Amino acid sequence: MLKKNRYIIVVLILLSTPLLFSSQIRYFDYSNYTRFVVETGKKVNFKIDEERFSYTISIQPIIEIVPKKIVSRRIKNIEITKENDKLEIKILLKKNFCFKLKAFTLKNPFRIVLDVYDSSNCSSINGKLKKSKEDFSEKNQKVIHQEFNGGKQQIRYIVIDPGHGGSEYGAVGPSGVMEKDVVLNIAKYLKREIESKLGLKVILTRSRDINLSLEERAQIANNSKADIFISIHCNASRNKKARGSETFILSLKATDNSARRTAYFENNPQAKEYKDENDTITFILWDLAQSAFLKESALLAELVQKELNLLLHTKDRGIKQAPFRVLTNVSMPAILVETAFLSNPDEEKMLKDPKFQKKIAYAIFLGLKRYIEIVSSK
Amino acid sequence: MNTKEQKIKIAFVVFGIVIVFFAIGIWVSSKFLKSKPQMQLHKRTALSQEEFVEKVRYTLFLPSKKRNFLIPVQIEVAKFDSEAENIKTLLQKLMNMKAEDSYFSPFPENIKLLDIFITKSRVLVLNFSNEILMNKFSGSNDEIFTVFSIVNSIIYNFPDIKSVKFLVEGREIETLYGHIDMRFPLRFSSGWVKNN
Repeated sequence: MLKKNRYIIVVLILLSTPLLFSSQIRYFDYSNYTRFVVETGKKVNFKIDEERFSYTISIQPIIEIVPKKIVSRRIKNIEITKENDKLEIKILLKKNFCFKLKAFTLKNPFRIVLDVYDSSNCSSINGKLKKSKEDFSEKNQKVIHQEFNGGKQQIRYIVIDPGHGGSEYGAVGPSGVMEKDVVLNIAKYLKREIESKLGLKVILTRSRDINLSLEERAQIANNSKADIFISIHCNASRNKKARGSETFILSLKATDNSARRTAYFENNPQAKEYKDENDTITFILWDLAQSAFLKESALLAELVQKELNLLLHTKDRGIKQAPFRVLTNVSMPAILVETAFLSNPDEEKMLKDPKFQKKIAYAIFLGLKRYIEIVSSK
Repeated sequence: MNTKEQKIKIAFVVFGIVIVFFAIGIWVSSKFLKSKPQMQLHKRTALSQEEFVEKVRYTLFLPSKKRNFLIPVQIEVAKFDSEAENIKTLLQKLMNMKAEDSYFSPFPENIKLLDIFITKSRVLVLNFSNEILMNKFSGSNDEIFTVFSIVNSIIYNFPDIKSVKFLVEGREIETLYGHIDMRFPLRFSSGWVKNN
């Protein structure tokens, strides 16, 4: 009986071997894009071809792929075919949307990543990915990556984060105007300005009235490899007379992260290493990453604040530093703009007005434009 | 005889009056003699309590009404032997501060301080009731002032406390109102403080 069981186990192991060593397909739906990942395990040559409603990843040499049923907001289905010495994964997109593609690779383990973004401009999709079908070299993959990212431009992607959303109203003015609505409008106006006048790609962390965690906002910025992160907010105070605009950059001077680590060991005397969802080491790395961008963030904040002062004629509350959660985990120059005070009845009226919202968006746009000019000329 | 009987009657009456007065005298004197020392003792106790209660002066940092800063405000409260009791007293005082001409109260109303403890590494952990999150319609300005009013007031008056960590109903929080990172303990921040 025991011997029979052993045979069954061996047969099962042999049958499952291809699955153990085969590659994996994963996908994740985010608010404004879907990430499609092929984990090959080892480094492979690959190429991506684009058609109107599909992307085809050609991989050489052939690897084992476990077929997967797709239930995605943007992806309709996938087709896997083996032809000669290459494997083709065709990603069929849903036809009622327009998409933009950003592709890159990640290491350890080797992964091919395709981010399929929502796009308002359907004409821009076609004709961007013209590549040779023969060459599978690594050099060419880098070229492809560059093409996806917009060529030689230093600043390519900008992430705009309208604060709060969904059940998180943010500040609410005396007459009921909500921060989440005002900042979403400003973010949309700003996106339109940047895309139409600078030709850069803008990703909104949320384009609708939805709940989005602060961590997800940072992830969207990092995953899309954004070059600039701008979070837009309205301020509020118990002091109804408080008014004006201010721009924040991150400061972790007031944050005692070593204390958290020590406290962990105090509470877990048996622990040999610090393990936590919000790992201190990760936090320190993000801190270092953000410190590396401190100069750029300060420059961007200064230029944006200057334009806000000039255009809005609101009280200049200057540039400040604080440990803002949304700025903690982003690895790029990042600012948080407090446009005006919703708690002040006069400023609430102004913030409610679409003309004023457009003015704010334009002021941020001018500051951003000046920043890009300075950074690009270096 | 008549005169003799009259004399005896008068003597009895006088004797009776004397006894009545004597009795009244005893009753009055006994009453005065008992109550007087009691009052004196009471007075003395009150005086001794006032004389021996040690007071301590703390500096609280409260949001200014005129400017966008925390301003120092002096208070005087009873001093206790235990550090934790002194911190609790300071926090209760901070929570009960009513808005004055020059400053606002830093807290939303009806907040309860559930518990405090100090770790070996001198991090003060404050556990508040859910009400501290109820002011969620506030902006970053309010959040900064609530957080750093507490942190600065504690660390300024108790320099041995290294940093302050916030819990709500025993749970860690990411932010109070969606802005300031509260996952880690916070230190004194001088950037928000100015003399009025």
